Amino acid sequence: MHAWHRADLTAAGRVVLDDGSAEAIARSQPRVGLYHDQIRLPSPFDDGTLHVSSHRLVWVAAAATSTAKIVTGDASADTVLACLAPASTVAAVAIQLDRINRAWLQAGFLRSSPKITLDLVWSDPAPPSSSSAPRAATTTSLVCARCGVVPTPSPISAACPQCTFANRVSATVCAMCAYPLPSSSTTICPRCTLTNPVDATKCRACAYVLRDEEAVMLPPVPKSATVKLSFRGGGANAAYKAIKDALQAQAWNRISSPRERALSSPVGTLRDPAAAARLSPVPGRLAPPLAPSMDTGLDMAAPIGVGGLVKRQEQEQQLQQQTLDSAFTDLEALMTKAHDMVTLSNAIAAKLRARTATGTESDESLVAQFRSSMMALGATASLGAADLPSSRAATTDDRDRALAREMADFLHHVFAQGKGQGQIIAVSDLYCMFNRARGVAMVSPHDFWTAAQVLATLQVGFEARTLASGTRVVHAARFADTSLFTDLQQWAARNALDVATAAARWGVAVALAAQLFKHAVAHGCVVVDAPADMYYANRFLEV
Amino acid sequence: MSTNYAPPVPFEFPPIYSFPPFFTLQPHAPSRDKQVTAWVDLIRAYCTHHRVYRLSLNASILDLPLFRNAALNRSVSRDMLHTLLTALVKADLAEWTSKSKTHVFVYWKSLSEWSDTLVAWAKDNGFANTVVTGYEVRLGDYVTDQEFYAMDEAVFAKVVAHLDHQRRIVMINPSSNVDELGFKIIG
Repeated sequence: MHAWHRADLTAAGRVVLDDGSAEAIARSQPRVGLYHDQIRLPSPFDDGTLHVSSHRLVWVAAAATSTAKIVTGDASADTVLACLAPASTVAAVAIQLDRINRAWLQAGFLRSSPKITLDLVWSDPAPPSSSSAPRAATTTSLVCARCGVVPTPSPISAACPQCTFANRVSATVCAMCAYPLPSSSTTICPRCTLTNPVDATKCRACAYVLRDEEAVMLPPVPKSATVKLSFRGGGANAAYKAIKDALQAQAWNRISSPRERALSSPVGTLRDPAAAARLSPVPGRLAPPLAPSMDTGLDMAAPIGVGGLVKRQEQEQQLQQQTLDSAFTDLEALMTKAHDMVTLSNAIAAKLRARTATGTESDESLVAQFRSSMMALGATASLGAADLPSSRAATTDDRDRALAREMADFLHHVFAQGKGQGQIIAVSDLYCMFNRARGVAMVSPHDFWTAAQVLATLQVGFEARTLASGTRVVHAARFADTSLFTDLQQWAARNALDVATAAARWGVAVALAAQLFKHAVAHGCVVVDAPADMYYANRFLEV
Repeated sequence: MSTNYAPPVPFEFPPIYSFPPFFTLQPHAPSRDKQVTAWVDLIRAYCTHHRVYRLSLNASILDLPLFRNAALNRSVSRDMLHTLLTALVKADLAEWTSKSKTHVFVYWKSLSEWSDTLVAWAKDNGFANTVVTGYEVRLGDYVTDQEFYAMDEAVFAKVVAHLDHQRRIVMINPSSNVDELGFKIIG
């Protein structure tokens, strides 16, 4: 049994989330490496992006390569690798959060990066090793061939400490040797064999120290594995918090909204299931009763009949009002804090600018750190134009890449629809369609264009370009320069081209076709006959 | 055109002349260079055939069969013509008449070639070492079958000046009127 299993990615490299159980990604952190037990798994498992979702931990490789021959030398790690990457490209692997027993964080020290260690629980019922009957014929026949005793099978048995016979769990003495068995409520002192209560620290008869006062008595742990995540790009604390929150929330078990919990409370107290079904907001789904810590302040008198319906309406309104109020107070508090933060960052930026000329080297590194963290926050307005790096590539961060991947998925959808839409679209059109599809959390035009320019580096088959006239387009590989020119040359060799037929053939707007032609002429692919606006194969370069 | 020379056979245009984009100056630089080179060759051939000594940037020149293809209904634009003439000058096939760059003399034969032609004619026809007038050489009865018959006056003056510079003639009567020039070709 292995901890990781393969996860699905979309064509653009984004994680496929389970919509049915409302899985959502809480945190993403790039530059995370994987360890199995103590073994650092080799490339490509040493660099990837970790996504903490409400149900899983998904790790996406930064570079998808073939792992047919990766070996680490350790047998268990090798089996893990063989299971994950049978011979094709590795893209993403995941662990279900409900298999994690514990997680803890080790901070980085000197050259080792911070690590989160996960204790996992096998789903196997028991280790296959110790068999209770020495010469049982097969697993199905339960009678010992030598002595005829029927041993209890392993899940419901407890081995006797003295003679190792498998007794029933409820037995207090061993059926074979009459040794008093330890049960969940008693322990046997090893020196004088008196049965003490399980939480006793010293034996009542001989004062033998049974356990340390600080130690915690754990039930026997089934065979487990350890997985470590190494955070080489930082973000370990935030990821640890996110994992902890997700483990606590246990989204795979519980109901989500407090509204449903509140509304299900009058249902839960009824004894009449028919009335409960009538009044329940979600038919066929009775929620567990409210936890005592949840105080909704609702009046639960007479929830039946018209009066009950009216009461329920009022309760809903009250709840909505409370939610709105709390939301707005939060919002106002946020705005005040943001205002403070902006003032603070402006003041610091002004001070920085004043002292960069005279600062020492340690100051310079601090200044650089401050600038990079301001940029990461997006508070670029407080930095002067001179502070921003000149090359945009230096600040391409993962947000751009994630947005670009989302855009690529959307483009697949747009271009797959056909309807005469060729595989090239103006950025303004795409921006409108994209934001419309999003509905909320819309993207600014600047961010959209920045992400579009990253598309080419992701190699998802699309790229963004600015044509000579200034029009910005996003297109599939078919309209890349090489393929476009080849197509045009072959077509022009047969007949003279004009813009309208080209637009019809490519499925693009006439204006866009005209610009593509201009682009082709500027590169010498075809030549133009201006008075008639026709395009011919370039005979001048043939001679 | 300054002469009314009617060639015996019509000029045969090259196939590129029937290519409509030939009449549009291409934006792509390498294509444009090839296009202009083709035009320069065409202009030179045409001027040789029709004995054209001058070209000027005025409206009527765009009606020349050289610059207008009636079958395609395409003609060269004025800007493009300026470009072509500049290229012609650069190729040493023409010379601007004045600083204002509106006229060119077309040297479909270069000045030194003309000089050689004149001297060769003089030697072959017994006019070496005799005094001849400009009129005789340019428009006389003995030269009607020569290439330089009815040469443009200004061009002729330049040829004579070139010959003088080369000391292949002796100037007897320098005159501003080309026909009254008197010189002796040294044979």
